[in-house]
Amino acid sequence: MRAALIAALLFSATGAQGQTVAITGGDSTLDGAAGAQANLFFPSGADAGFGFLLTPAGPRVGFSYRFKWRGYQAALGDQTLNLGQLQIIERGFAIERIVGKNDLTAFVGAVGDGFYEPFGRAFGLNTAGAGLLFTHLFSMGSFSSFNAVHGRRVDALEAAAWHNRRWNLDGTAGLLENRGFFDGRVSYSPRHWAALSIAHQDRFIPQHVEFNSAQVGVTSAHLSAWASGFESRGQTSEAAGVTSRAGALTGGVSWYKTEGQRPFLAANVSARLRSWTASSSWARGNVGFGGGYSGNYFSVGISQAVLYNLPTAAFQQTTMLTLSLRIPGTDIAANFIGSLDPLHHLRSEEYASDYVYGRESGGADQAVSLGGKFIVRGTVTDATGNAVQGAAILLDHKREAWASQDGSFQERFRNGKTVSVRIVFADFTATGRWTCATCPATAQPTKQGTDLKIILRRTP
Amino acid sequence: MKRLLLLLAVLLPAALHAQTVMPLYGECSAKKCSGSFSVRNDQVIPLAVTLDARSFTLKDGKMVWQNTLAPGVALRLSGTSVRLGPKQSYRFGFKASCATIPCQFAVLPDFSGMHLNNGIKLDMHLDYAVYVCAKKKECRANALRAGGYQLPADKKGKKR
Repeated sequence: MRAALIAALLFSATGAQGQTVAITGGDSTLDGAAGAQANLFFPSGADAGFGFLLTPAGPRVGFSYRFKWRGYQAALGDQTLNLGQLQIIERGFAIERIVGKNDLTAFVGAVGDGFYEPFGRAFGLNTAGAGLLFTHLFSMGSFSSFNAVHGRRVDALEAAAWHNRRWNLDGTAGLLENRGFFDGRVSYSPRHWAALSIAHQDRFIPQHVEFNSAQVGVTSAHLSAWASGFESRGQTSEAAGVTSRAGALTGGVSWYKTEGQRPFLAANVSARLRSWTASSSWARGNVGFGGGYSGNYFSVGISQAVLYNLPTAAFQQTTMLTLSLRIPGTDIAANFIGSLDPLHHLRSEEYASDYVYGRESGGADQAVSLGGKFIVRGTVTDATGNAVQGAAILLDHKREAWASQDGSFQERFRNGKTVSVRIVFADFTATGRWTCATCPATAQPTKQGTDLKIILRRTP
Repeated sequence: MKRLLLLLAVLLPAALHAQTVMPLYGECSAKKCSGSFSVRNDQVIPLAVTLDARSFTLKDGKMVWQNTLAPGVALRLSGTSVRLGPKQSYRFGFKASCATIPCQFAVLPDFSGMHLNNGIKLDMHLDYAVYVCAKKKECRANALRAGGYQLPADKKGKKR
């Protein structure tokens, strides 16, 4: 813990280098972890992070530096690669290139396990190796392929997602560390008021757990009904309920059953008035009262819920206490989350965060200078001549500009040396997918301002 | 349950913040009109900021916007866009001149989230107004009075 605080202080001291430093620290008896995290955000768009956690498996560290280099997104240190619902932790060097609808990431380093807390991230490394992640987007979904070799372990996973107005399908399957892996879900919504879904999930928390579920629900303006079934570790659980809403009042009755255990009923009623809530619940003969207040700077609440506990594969009654506050005029925020189980074991998580600022960046200072005298300006339009607001243009490999409402952009340079011009589709704030129709590769900054004409075409 | 708690932990401190433009207006004399303003990303996700400039007139206590800068207003900006990281700020500089005095215009920073393939894009427009007069002193107040606005200072004077 002491080392984490020292690290956080060191990062605070470098606030002048990174423009903004975010510091978070906390402790959790829920997961038995404690630690801190510092993130630096640089004016160039690069960012760096350092995390230290004391976990039940021993001390863990995490560090990363992400930056753009000649149109590539590069990462040194830890990186999380997303493949469907699966996250792959990698430490080493990773480089990513997005071309149109294709995204390719290559890495060399080590693959391991991640420890995520609201107050820090750290990683434990297993084996050294290298791998590739490729993703292709199409109009109604995506396809991804991940292949890696690390130590004597092989990962070969394919993921696909597809959706239309009624169906939503996604799945990941293949070999994960020489073992079969499958994670998938299908949901179908025949009408706007009805939905059903089935899922099979492989989870590592940290032991491998397979989990099957099916859910169906119907809803109207004042009434909703649902039913669920779960299966994990050979044990099944079912639940069903009805909820009714009338103005600020909400009430419901639910039924829960786990194989080998007595079923039970739970009822709850709650009322909301502006920032205040009040609730009462009944389950297994126990009556609970809750409620809370939620404001901009302060919120507190007590609530009762019946949750499905994945590690024990059973329903569990839980009382939760949440407290969140922010000190006015500062960025300091503190949070407390407590969970009380039926045996009155309190487990909690508390953490706080703050931001430290370095000097302000900008092309102008208080004495007002416009920056360089040599200008590249231009307009970005589509084939019909309409401005493409939010198109991103990278000039001279490092100066990124976005087209404004009328499609115009401008960058100033200190000399008239020819600069490269590249369209960065991944950074567009304009929605949709685009390709180049007419895109000049270079531009010559001049004192009068060189006018570039960039024409893009929208793709489906 | 652990996941639900983690989700709650992430969501609880996520208050909705506005973006910031500082200061809200500037005044300058026709001889030398220059200044600067800051834009700040109060969120913890990166944003792109683009600048647009428009003239406006003040008439009968209302602000009437034009789509572009009025003819005769020349505005030079240090930049027209920037990427703002979480909690970062950036200072833009400008130099301006007006063919007719007094004149007013505004630079409108447009805060926009990063790329979406599908869905609705939400932008936030704020403005930094510039009032140009023969003399810098009381330039904005005089422009507002001439446009039919009643200023708090005027109301106090009436009461007395």
